[in-house]
Amino acid sequence: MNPKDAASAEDSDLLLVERANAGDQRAFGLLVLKYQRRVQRLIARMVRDVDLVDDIAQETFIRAYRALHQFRGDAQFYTWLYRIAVNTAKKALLQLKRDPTVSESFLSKDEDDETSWQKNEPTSEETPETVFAAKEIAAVVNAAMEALPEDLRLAVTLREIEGLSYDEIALAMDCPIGTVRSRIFRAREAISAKVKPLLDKQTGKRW
Amino acid sequence: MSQGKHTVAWVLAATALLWCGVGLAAESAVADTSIHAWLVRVHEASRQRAYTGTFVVSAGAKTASAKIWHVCDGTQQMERVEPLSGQSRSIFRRNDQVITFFPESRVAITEKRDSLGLFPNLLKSSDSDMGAHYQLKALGNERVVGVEADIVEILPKDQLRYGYRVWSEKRTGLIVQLQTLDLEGRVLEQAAFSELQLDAPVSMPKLAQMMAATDGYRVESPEMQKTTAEAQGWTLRRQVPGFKAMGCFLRPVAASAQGVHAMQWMFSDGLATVSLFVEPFDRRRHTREGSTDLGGATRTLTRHLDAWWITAVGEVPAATLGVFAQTLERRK
Amino acid sequence: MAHPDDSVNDRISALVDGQLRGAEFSEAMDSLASQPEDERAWQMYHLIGDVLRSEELAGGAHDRDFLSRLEQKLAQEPVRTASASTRVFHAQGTSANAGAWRWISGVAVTVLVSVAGWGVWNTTSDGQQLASTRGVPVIAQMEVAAGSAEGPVMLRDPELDALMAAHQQLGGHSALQMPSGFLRNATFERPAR
Repeated sequence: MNPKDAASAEDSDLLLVERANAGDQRAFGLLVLKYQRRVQRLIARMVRDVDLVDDIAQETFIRAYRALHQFRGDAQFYTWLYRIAVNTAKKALLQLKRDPTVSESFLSKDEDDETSWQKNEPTSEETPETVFAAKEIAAVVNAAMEALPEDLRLAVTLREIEGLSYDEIALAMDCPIGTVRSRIFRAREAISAKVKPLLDKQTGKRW
Repeated sequence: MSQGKHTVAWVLAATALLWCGVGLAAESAVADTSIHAWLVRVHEASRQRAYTGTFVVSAGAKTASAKIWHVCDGTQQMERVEPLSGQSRSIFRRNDQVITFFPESRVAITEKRDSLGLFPNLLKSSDSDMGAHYQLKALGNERVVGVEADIVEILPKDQLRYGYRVWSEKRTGLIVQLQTLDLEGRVLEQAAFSELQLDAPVSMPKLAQMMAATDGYRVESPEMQKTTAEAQGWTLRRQVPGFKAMGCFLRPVAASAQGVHAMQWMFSDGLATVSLFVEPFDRRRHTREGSTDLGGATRTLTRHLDAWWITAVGEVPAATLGVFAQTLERRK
Repeated sequence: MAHPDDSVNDRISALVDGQLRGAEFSEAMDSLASQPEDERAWQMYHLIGDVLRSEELAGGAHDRDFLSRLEQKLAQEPVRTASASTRVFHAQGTSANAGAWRWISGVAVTVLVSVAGWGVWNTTSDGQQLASTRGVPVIAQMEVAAGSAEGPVMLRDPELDALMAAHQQLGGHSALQMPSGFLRNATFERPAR
C-alpha cells in the first residue's frame, strides 16, 4: 500500500489547520461547519440555557482559533477541540455561579459528575420543534440509505459508520479506489437530494 | 420630480462616495464634524480598488451572508454577490444595471436601478438639510477585519429616524462595517465584512462574461413605469421632516396575485429610505393591518384606506412609517 | 455561477474523507472560497455522516448562521500571521464598540392585528386572540415577547416579503448605499419568486 494513499479524515483536519495557520480563515470555517453540532451537543449536556449553549459554543471556537498555532497534530483535532469546549463551559458555569443575580436554572445539571452527561439524556436545546425537526432529518437520511443501490450503501456505510479508509474499503469491496470514491460520492448526492427539501422547509431557506 | 432636485442630485452624488473615480490624496483622520464634509472626504479618498470578501448582515440572532467580488476600471464598476443563505441566486451589477440569476428556476431578472449610478463628478457643495436632521461625531479609529478604520457616528436629531455607526477603511474610504442604531442607541442591525481582501485580483472580463451568460435562462425585465404620485392621484398631506420624494413607479409586486400593479413612491432623508406602496384593496390578500418587526432595520406597516391598501416599508422606526401612512391621501 | 457541478462535488466528497493532497487539495480549497455551493456540499456531507453515526446530531438548518456570527467575531481578532509567537492585543474600548454587542435580545415580535382571518399569523404565547377593530383608522401594535428557544418567531408573509424586496431593489437613495446598502439588500433580498 502506498503510504500516500493511507489518508484519513484526521490528516484532513490537520491539513485544514495548517492552512488556517497559514492565513486561510476559510479553512477554519470548514472545521467549524464540520464540528459545530458535536460541540453544541457536548455543551448542551453541561448547560441548561440554550442561549448560553450557543454563547459557549461560539466562545469555544474563538479560543480554538486563537490557540490554533498550538495544535501540533499529535492528537486528533476533535479531541483538542473537545477539551477546549469542556473548559470553556466549566469556566462559564463557574462565573455564573458567582453571580448572585443568575438563577439556578442557568446552571448545569450534575456538573460535578463528568460522566453523567454522557448518558443519553435530552439536552437543553430540545424543544418539541427541534426534536421533531431532528427526527425528520434522521428519518429521511435513513430512508434514503435504504433506497440506495447495494454497492453505494455499502461504500458509504463502511466509510461513515465503520470509519474505514478508502484503501480498506477498496479491499473490502474488491474494487479500485476510484470506484470507492465515486460510490461514496454518489451515495452522498442521493441522500443530499432528499435532505435538501427538508432543510429548505425547516429554515424557510434554500439549501 | 421637481421637488428637492438639488437634494436628489446631492444624495445621488453622495452615493458615488466609494466609487472608483478621481483618486485624490487620502486624509488620515476625520477632523470635520459636518456630515457633508465627511462624505466629501470619504469620496475624495476613494480610489480604484478591487476587493473580495464575505459580507455578513446580522440582526439579533439572525444572520445572512454573501461572498462578494468588486472591481473597477475607472469608468465601470462591477460587482458579484453570491448569498450564502436564502434562495439560491447570483447577483451581478455593472454600474446601475443589475441582473439576478435564479439557477433553480432558470430565470434571470434584469433591472436598471436609478438609485445607483456612476458619477464621476465631485460632490457639489450645494444644499442639503441632512445637517438639520443628523449629527456627525468622529469616534476615533479601530482595527477591524484586518484594516485600520475610522469610526464615525451619525445620530438623528429627532425620533423619526435611526442612527448609524460607520467604519470606513482609512485609505480607500471603503465602508467595512455599518451599524444601524435604534432610538436607544442599541444595534438593530450590522452589515459588515467578516473577511476582506483589498486589491484582490478580480478579473473584470471574467465577471462580465459571467454576467452575460444568460444561455438557458429565461430573461425577464420587470415592467416599471415611471410616473408621479400626482399623476396617480396621491399626495402627502404634510411632508415628513427631512424626507424628500425620490421617485415613483407603477410596478407589479404581489407575490400571489398576477398582474396586480402597485404604485411605489420612494422617499429618502439622505441615509434612510422609505417606500410607500399603494394597491387596490383585496380582501383575500390584505388581511393584516399593522406594523411588523422581523428584526433588522427594515420595518413594514400596512393600512387599509377606503378602496386602497397601503404598505409602508423603510429603515425607520415604526412611528415614522405610521406618519407616512397617515399623511398619505387622495388628491382632491 | 451557481451551477451544480458533479465533478466539483465529487472533489468535496473526497476532501471530506481526507483523500486530497497537494494540488488537488489546493484547488478544492480555492474552489470552496469562491463557490458557495461547495461549502454547502461540505456542510451537507458532514451532516449526513453525523446523522448516520448519531441521530441526535440531526441539526444543520442553522449551521451557516452560527458560522457567520462567529466570522464577525473573528473579524475583530488580530490578523493571523504565520508566526504568532508575539500576540498583538486588540485595542478595546473605543466608545463605538463598547456597546456594540448589546443586541436587542429577546426581540419583541410585533404581531399584526388581524382584520379578517388569521392564516399562519401567530397569537400571543398564551393563545389569546388579539382584538381587532376594523374600520378604526388607528394602527394598532401589539408587542409580544419572544418566548421560543430559537429566539423571535419569524413570521413569513410572502406579500410583505415581496414588498420589502421591491423596496430594497428600487429604494436605495441613501448615501450609505455603496457598498453596504447594496450588499445588505442583495444579501437579504427575498424576491417574489
